[in-house]
Amino acid sequence: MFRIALASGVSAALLHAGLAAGAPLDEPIKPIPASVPVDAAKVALGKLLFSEKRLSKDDSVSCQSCHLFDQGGAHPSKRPTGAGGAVHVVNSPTVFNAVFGFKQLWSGGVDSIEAVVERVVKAPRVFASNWGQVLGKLSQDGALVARFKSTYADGLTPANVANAIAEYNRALITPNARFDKYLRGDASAISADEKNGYALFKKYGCIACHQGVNVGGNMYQTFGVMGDYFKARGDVQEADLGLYNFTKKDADRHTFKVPSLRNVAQTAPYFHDGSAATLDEAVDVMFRFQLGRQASAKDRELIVKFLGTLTGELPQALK
Amino acid sequence: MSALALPLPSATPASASRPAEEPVTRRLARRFGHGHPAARLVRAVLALACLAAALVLLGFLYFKSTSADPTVRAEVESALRAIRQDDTDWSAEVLRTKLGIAEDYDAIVALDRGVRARIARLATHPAAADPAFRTSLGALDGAFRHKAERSDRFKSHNSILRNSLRYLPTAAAEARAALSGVAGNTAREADALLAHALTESLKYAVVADESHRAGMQEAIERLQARTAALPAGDARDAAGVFLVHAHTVLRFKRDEEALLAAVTQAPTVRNLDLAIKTFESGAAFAASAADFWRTLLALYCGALLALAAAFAWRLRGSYVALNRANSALSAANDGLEARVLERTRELEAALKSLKESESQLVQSEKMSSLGQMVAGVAHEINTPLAYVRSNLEVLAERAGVSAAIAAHAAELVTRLAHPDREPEALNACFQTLARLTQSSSADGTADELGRLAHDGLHGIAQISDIVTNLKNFSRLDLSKTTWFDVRDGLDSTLVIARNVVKSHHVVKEFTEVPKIECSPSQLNQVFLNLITNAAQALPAAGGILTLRTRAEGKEVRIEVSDNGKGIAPEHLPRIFDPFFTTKPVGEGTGLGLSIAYKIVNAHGGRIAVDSTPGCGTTFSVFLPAQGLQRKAAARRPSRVAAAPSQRTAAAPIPREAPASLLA
Repeated sequence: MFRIALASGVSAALLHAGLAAGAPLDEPIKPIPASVPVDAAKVALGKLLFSEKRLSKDDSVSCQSCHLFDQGGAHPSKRPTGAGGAVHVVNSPTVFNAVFGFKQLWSGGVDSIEAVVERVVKAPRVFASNWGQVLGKLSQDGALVARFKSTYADGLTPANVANAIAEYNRALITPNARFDKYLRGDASAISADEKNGYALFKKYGCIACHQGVNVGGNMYQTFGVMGDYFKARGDVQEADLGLYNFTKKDADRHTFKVPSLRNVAQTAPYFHDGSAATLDEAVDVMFRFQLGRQASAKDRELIVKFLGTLTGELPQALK
Repeated sequence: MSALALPLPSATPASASRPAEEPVTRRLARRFGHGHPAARLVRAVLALACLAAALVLLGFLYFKSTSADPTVRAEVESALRAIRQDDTDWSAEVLRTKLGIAEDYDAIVALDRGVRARIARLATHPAAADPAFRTSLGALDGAFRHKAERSDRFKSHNSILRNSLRYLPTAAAEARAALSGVAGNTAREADALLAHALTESLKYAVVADESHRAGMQEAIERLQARTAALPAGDARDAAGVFLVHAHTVLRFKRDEEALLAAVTQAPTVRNLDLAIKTFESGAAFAASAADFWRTLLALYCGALLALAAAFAWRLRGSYVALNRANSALSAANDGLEARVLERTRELEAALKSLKESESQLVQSEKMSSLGQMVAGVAHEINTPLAYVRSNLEVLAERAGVSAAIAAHAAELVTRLAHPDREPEALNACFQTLARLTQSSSADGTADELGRLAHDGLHGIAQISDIVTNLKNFSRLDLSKTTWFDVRDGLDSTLVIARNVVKSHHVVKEFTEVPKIECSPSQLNQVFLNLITNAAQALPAAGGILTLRTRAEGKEVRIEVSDNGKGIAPEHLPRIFDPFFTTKPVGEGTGLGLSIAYKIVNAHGGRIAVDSTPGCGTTFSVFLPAQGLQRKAAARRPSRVAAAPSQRTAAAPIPREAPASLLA
């Protein structure tokens, strides 16, 4: 079992910076660790599979098609296109920092990243395939089959395909954001405006849901708790029911996982329906439907500035 | 080995001398003749078969006696203990987020994942081969899924409710500021209703009972009706925002109380205890079965030895070859003895491991009751804490008005003192100050500030009272002894146990007693156990809990009496036994009284119980007033008073009281 500490150079640099600066801050948001424990061989195999188009029915799309690394692990279109030119029912969520999420998908309807891979392969508007088809194509690639044999005792199986992709995903974390440096005690890592923006983020109550290491991603919340978002938006689709689609409990109608705000400045458009084109619009929607109050244009601008400090760095080896 | 293959000696003389009495033997002899090769062959085969059967039986008994593995038991018990700890931490973390002590939910998520992983590992453990244990693990997993689901809902509710509660005073202030710009009676009435609705909302937030809920509901309904009559504009919108948040508080507060109860009282503890009991009984059954087979093995070995000896006796001196064979057999028997010795050693090791398990179990019982106590105390602190917080928030909001008055007053003084007064500026400044002071006195701001501060101080005093008693109760001198007045201990314990005794009438009949040398925290643990037991035995109405102290000769006597249902006579002799409990599965570990007994015993004291079914129970603790005789007591436990009547049970004397149980 080979365990690697990704970006150990980054952690050494952090340690150095930490020694030079003040004491770490105790805030509701926690910094992303420099590395997470993963299996290097599986990560390497998963990296191959992440851009593997044979996973889709017509060999047209791979995971990477919708999760672009220069777009914060998401996609700039409102709803991206899958196999056979079909349009997804939801916007692409980011794949970064998924390891810190308490559940997966926009709705938080599944527990593991492996389960997400399983659904993506079979979803008619994404890969529109099945394991028989996928394994049929992959098993003709001798080199790939050999990689699986050397990595997993039972070689190429659906569970191992899902596990390798998931292990690669777990390694995709973005430490070293300016805000994390600030949390670790470097008071000059963010500007005065950004500090004020963070103070407003707490004062208005955004922090009640967007907290913890992933600034969200560790709880559920109803979309439209202070006003009917879906009525205001119109054209309600099945995907808008969120967690209800998994549990069939009325209390879970329009309930979603609170999304992480890590790298949020890079992941436009916003929300599961991609309805907010800019961060300003997204913050406005949150004020109206989740906080039930209004903020001045100045306060909103400061909050958006603060959100910009949450952009981290993907470990070089994984790009 | 060859000894058993020799011709059976009894057959030969019998067939020769008493033909009429041994027809079968004679027939055999006639048929094959003595020493006939065929007869010898039959005997050899028969003897070999007997030997083989004896060896198979020996192997079988040996296999049966080795089936209980102590390391499996230790692993499973430690995993179940860890789950219990995580469960307690989980509930405590939920309470921490409710009180705002913890501001993120990462710890709850980590505990949820940790428990799931531990249960999954147990499900693949060899111990899960027992179907009853596997079933109880399934039920445990279900209980934790239920807890996780409730805990997820709690997180969503808690976030919204905290935001709305924090925002309500600001929303009210913003709405009232907007209303002040609207002329007319409707606006004045709406303003008064707003102030009233805010007060009612904050009251309901602090004490979430039905009467406060009804008060709040009525206040916001009246405000809503009045707001609807306002002209469209900023004031109506601002009042509308306040109403949305007030409705949120009304809707979420009751749900949250129910969810909190569902999380902290999830059936996880009951299912954990069930899993532990199931596993224990399975393990105990396996151990007793192994014991049984070991006894059989020993008996069988003895029988084999006896048989071998009989053979040796019969054959000695007859055949030289037999001597050689005989020595081989006794060598084999030595091997058997060595095995029996080895099993005995293993048995002793298993016994030692069980003793360690017992002491760990006692420690875990303490941690578990500590967790429950912390939850209770957190609840007691929560109420005053919440209204101190809301008072401070209102104070902070009102401080602005006072500061503005002070600033304008200062400005007025400066202007008045200035040599060339500008009448217009002076007049404007005076007008502003007049308006501010007028609106402030109309609101009764000064009175309200005083009242809020006074209430806040009262809340703080309540909290510090609880904290002081908690500190007295759990002094960190676990092993140190000191001179201690047991009445102080009883008083502290009553404060800590207020949650369980508050619905009953408590009578204290304390008479002067000398201080005794003891470990106060351990004695407090005894008192807490006796008082909690008594409170639980009391009926819902008319329950009286009586605490007495008095000096009796060289002893201090402490009595805890209740007028509850009493203890059944058949249970009396066993109540101090470890793991004996009359409560339903999952509500008690049965260790409380046994630990209390050991603590009192280690102090050189004794504990007795007198109970009449239907009338009540009195526990009496006798402690030596002459200082501690712990060392003497640990070496030779003092004799417990003989039972004065058949209704009275005295605690049995355990063979030893390990010091580790008292730490």
